[in-house]
Amino acid sequence: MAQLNIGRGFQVYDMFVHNYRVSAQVDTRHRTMNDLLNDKLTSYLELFDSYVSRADQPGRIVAHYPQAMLRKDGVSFVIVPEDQSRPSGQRAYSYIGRSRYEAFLALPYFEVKGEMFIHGKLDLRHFLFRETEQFFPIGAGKARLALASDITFEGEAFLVNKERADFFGVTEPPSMATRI
Amino acid sequence: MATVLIIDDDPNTLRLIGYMLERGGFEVQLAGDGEDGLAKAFKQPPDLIVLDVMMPGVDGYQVCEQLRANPRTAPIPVIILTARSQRIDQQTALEVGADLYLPKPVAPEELIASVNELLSRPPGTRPSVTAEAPTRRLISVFSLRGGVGVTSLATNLAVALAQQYGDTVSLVDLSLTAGHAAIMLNVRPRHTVAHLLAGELDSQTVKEHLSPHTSGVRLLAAPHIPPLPGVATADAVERLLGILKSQYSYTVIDTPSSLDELTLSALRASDQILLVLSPEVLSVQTTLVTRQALQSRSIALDKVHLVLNQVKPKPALPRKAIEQALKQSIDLILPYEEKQALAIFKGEPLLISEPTSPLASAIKAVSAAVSAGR
Repeated sequence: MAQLNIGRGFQVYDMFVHNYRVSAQVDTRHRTMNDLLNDKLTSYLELFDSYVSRADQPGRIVAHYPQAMLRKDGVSFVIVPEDQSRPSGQRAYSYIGRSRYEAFLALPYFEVKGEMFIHGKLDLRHFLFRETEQFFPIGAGKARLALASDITFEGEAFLVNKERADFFGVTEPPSMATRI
Repeated sequence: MATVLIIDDDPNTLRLIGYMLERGGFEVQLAGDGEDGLAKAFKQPPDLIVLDVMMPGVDGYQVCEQLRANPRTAPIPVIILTARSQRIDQQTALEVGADLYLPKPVAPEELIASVNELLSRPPGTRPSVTAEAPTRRLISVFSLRGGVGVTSLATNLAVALAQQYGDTVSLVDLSLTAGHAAIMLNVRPRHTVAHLLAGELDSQTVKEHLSPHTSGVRLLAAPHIPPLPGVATADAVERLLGILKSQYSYTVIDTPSSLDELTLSALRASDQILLVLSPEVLSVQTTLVTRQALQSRSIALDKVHLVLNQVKPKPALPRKAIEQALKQSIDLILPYEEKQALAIFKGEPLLISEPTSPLASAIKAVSAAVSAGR
C-alpha cells in the first residue's frame, strides 16, 4: 500500500461499514482516531488509498480507490491501536482505579465483544444518552460476523459507534466485583 | 547469491525492504506494482518474492495466484508482507499459495531470518492452510535463579508464536507459589492450573480452564494463593502437558525456579528447554550447576538451549567469558530494553506494546528458532 506523506500522520486502519471492510490510510494530523471520529465539526472522514472487501470474504479485495470519503454515522466500528482509542492527552497507561466490564454489542452484520474500563459504576442509560461522544473504546475487541461466525476480527481496541448498536449488554465479572 | 524480487507500490517501502535484504546478503530486484512484478518474475524467475497485498491494479493475492499458475514461477517461495494484520488475512495469504505471511512493520532480523528459512527449505514443502504449524512442541522456559526474565520470555514467546500461528498456542504458568504470567498479560483468570491439577483431567476440562488473551494465546494461569502441598502431582502435570500437546501446536511452560518433581516432570516432557541466564557471576554459576543437575536427572542436554538475557543496561560479564565458564556457546541473546518494565506494569507484552524494539525482534528470532526445532 502506498504510504502517502508519512510525516503528516498517515496510518492504516480497518473500518467496518455495513457489510464492508475498508482498509485505508487516514491522515490523523497527529491527533488520535478517537478525536477524528468524535469531531462534530465534520461528518465525513477523508480516506486515501482505500481497499474494500466484503465482510463475508474479508481477505479478498474487491475495489481500490486512491481517494474516498467515509460518512462517520455509517461506520459501525474501527480497529485501532490502544493509544488511538482515547482522546489526545488521555492515554491510559494503567487501569488502576477503573472498573472492568465485559461488553457485548449487536451492530449491523457484526457482534462485538470486549472490555470497558470505567471510572466508578457504569450507568448504561447515562452512558448512552448523556455522554456526548458518538464513538467509544472497547479494549481487547473481537468482532464476529453474525451470519458466518468463523469470520472474526481482533484488535487492541475498537472504536464503536453507539448509534449503530441495537443491543448493548455489559457484565461485571465476579472476580472484578470491586474496583481494581 | 540468492535473488529476491520485492513487489510493493510504495517507493519508500521498496527502498527500505531492498536495503534490509541487501544488507542480509541478497541480490535485490524491485517492482513498483503487481503487473511489473509479474513481468519481472516471468522473465527471470527470482529465488524468492516478497509481496505487498494492497496495491492498485493487480493486488498481491492476484499476483500470488498468477505466480502459482505458471510452471516457471510456481515453485518460488513467496512472503506476503502486508499492513492487513487480521488472522483472516494470514489465512487468505496461505490460501492463494504464499509460503509465509508477515504483518507490517517487520524487523530486519525477522525478515532476513524468514527469507533464509524459506530458501533453505527443500522444494515442495510449502505449508498447507490447515497445517500452519507442522509439529506440536512443548517448550519450557527455565532458570534456577529468579529475576533473570523467565516469565517475561515465556509470555512474549507465547505471543510471538501466536502472532505466527494464531490461536494454536497455550501458555502454562507452573509457578504455583508465585506465578505472574496472568499479570504480564493483564488476564484475570477464572480458573487456574491448581484447580485443574487437583481434579479430573480431560480435554474438555483443560480447555475450560484456559483463559484467552487478545494475542490468541490461551493461558493456564497460576493460582492467586499457593495451593496446599501435595495438591498437584508430577503425574498430573505429565497428563496435563500431554493433553495440551495434543490440542495446541505450541505449549510454552513458565517453570518455577526449583527442581522439584513437578518441574522435572515438565522438563522431561518438553521438546525444548530454554535455560535463561543473565550476564552476572551468580547466574552463570547457577546455570553451570543447573546443567549438571539436569544431566544427573536424565534430561538430555541436547534439548537445552542457553538464552542470555541482558536484564541490565550494562552486562557485568562479557559473552565470551560466560561461554568459557559454561564451556558452551550461548544460543540466543536478548538485548536490554528499558521499556520492558513499563510493558510489565501495563500488563502488555513487549511484542505488542513495542513490536519493533530490538528485544521484540530478538524474541521473534527465538520464536522462529523454536518453531523450526532449532
